[in-house]
Amino acid sequence: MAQTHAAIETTHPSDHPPGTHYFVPQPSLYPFILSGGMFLLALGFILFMNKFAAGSWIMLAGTGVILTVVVRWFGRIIHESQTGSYREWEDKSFRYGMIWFILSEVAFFAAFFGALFYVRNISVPDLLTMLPRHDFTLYPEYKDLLWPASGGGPKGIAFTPMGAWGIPAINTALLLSSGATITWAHWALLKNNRTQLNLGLFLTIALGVVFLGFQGYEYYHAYTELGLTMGAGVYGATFFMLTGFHGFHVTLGTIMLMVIYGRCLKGHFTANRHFAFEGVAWYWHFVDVVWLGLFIMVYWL
Amino acid sequence: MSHATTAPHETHHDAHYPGGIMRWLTTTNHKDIGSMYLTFALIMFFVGGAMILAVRAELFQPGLQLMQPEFFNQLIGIHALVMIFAALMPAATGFANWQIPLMIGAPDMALPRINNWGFWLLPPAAILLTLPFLLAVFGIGDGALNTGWTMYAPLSVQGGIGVDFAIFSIHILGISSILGSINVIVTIFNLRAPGMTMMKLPIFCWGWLITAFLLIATIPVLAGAVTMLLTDRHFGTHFFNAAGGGDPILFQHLFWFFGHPEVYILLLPVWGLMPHVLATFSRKPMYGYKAQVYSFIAIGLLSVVVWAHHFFTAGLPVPALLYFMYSTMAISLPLAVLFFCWIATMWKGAMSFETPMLFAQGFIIMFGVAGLTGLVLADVAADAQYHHSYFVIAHFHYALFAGGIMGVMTGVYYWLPKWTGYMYDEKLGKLHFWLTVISFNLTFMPQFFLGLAGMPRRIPDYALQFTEFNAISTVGAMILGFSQLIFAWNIWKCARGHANGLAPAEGRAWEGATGLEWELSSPPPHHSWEVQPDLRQPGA
Amino acid sequence: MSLHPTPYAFDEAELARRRSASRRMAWLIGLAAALIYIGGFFLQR
Repeated sequence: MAQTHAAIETTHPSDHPPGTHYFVPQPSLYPFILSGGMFLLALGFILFMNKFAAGSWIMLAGTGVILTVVVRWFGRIIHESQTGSYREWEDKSFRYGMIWFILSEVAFFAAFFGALFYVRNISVPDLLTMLPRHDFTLYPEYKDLLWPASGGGPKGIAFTPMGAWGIPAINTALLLSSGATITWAHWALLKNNRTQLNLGLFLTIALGVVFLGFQGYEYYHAYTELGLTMGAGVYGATFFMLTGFHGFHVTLGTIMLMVIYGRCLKGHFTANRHFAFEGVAWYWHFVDVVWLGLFIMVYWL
Repeated sequence: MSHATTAPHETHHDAHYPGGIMRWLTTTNHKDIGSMYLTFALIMFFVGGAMILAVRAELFQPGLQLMQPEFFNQLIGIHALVMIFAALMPAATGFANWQIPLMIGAPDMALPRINNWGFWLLPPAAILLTLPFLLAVFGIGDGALNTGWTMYAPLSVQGGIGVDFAIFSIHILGISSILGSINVIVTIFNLRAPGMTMMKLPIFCWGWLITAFLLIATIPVLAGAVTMLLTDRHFGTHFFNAAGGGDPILFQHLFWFFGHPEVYILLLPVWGLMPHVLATFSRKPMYGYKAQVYSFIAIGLLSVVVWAHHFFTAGLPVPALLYFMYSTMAISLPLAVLFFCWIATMWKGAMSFETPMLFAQGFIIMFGVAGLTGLVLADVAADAQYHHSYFVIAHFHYALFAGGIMGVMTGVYYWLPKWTGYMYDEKLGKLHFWLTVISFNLTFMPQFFLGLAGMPRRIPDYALQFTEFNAISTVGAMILGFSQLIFAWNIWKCARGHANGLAPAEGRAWEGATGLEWELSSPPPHHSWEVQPDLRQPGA
Repeated sequence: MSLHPTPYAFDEAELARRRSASRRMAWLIGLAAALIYIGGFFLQR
């Protein structure tokens, strides 16, 4: 590692005029180990699902490797950032990278929204209107013509759909306010008001955690009282996969917020150099917008 | 104009680069990573090829001689996934890694560690894909994915452990592709030499840029589709099960929303490199740069709105059939623009036919066959006859072998002197070309007629009247497969050019070649363009 | 985009010969394609 530090010093960007010597990091073993960790996680999960005893242990090992490498790799990047390896040129790369990463996430959610629109507009109505159209039906149990109408199928279980105006409405308010608090924190960073910055970030994290708490309670409520499970027809499938992947992203976003909160407390970031802060803020806004889509399409309509 | 680039001031940190295996595990250098991608692609090309030669051997005669239908089903699906995800796509990414920084005057790719990660995700994914074959030998599970590469529900929902392995392999391959795409986009947007505007960008980079956009838009949708498959298999959801309100056709929609753009993901890098090769060996500037760029964009946009032509016979409503038929046929317009630009680039050129140019000619003619047979398949009424027949197999092998892999070979021969610093063996190259092009047509031309005569795809046994053409096809496939060993030998020989007494390549390896990559030495210095060339003042 | 011009290995006469050869070949291929196209109208099935 000592060697690597020395090399960074010799290629210190401020020694060079703009447009020359883009920061190319020294060789790194992290990507290779991370790939190995992901292999173990995937292999373990496959074995776990197919009821092999070793599966969960291999998964655990893979998760351990991934977490260790992610922490060390990001630590390395933060170190490079703090020691001045990145200028505007490199900063711009990170910004472009983050934008395209978020767009790929948008495409991932689009798949599940697409599935939701498809089952609501095509497959469920087709199944419900089979009898009048064909004088024959696969599943006479389907009676209700309205979404969510999949409860009575041979494989479906009777369930109560999730209403929009209880916890989901509160959660919408929570996430929208968290979008406001992080912007408030960003303004503070631009004005170099560190107290307001830390307070804004703390509030954002708190709102995210409360959101996740409510979401957990909602799932508990769905499983124990409403009979709404992943197996509850295609309504349950789309409901849990969409809100579940969203909740997973909120969890990641909250962890990311905690990391930059810790960095803010240590005095990192300046008014004109704070890509990590902005990247996390973009991610948080993305999670926020996905939630609005969920609230309207999954809970409300 | 000053270009101090060929005299790099990098000796002071050369000492820190590890040697041996650690060089490859840890590298952040775009050329090392590009070489790894290309080597991996070549190895997997032979793995996928061996699988399909076993399949063709089984199909040499009617009846079951060599394998059981279950194993046959595993071979065809894994052959496709290996060739698409582990051979063609990594080869294209290898080109991107090697060439984009050289062509746009950048020191390296924009995110070098991510670049390394993108590569090292590939071997685990390839292992996951093929491991179930091995596990089955030891009595664990029932073999690899046995549904064909499309993994249609409900078959894949009921399949064995091989489906799970394929799902996670696809997840990891997808992450790798997205990382590679982000890197390409960021590099092109942020690391171009001063004065290289987007409309001066080498057309290969434009091809890859559109490819990267398509990957970012569609790979996550495939990830979503196989995730739904996974939860349907193990967690009780009903996405693809009508008993719970879902629909197996939904899987086809999601899969082909990825699957059709994937065709262009495989082909756009090749369409990007083709004009460079044609211009070089015609000793003329390329024709219609702007028209080609706009065609790439048009094809990229059209490719995401035509997916349902892959399942015309699944029972779609007539308005949907008409829409998907017309939009599919609309793709032939920008594609025809590309063909005319390629031909016009050669028009009145002082042409010479070195191996890359031969492959380019073969590409244009045989990819033309793919385009014309594609128009036939795009017709809903005709497709009712051709669907799921050998006609489709012949069509997409003309597209993906003659269009994709022969395009990759064009690029490999064109840039090998730049990468290795030695001229490859021209005689071996020409031998490889002629064996490939003849045996390729021997393999796949009969399959058009088999399909027209009604032979369905994905069967290990067939009716007696198909015997002769299947025998011809198998003979062709064996020649095709084994002549690729010449390709591998030629690359190996060139990579060790000094030991093999080959002529060293000049910086500008081809006299007619233009572009920044030919301004550098062959092979280029460690940090390609440590100081960016300034293109703002024209002239020297 | 070329930063320095490269001399061609072919001399001017050879370049001219190849240019006219490629033009001739293009016309020949075009003519063959047109003939196949027109011939198709007379194919009886």
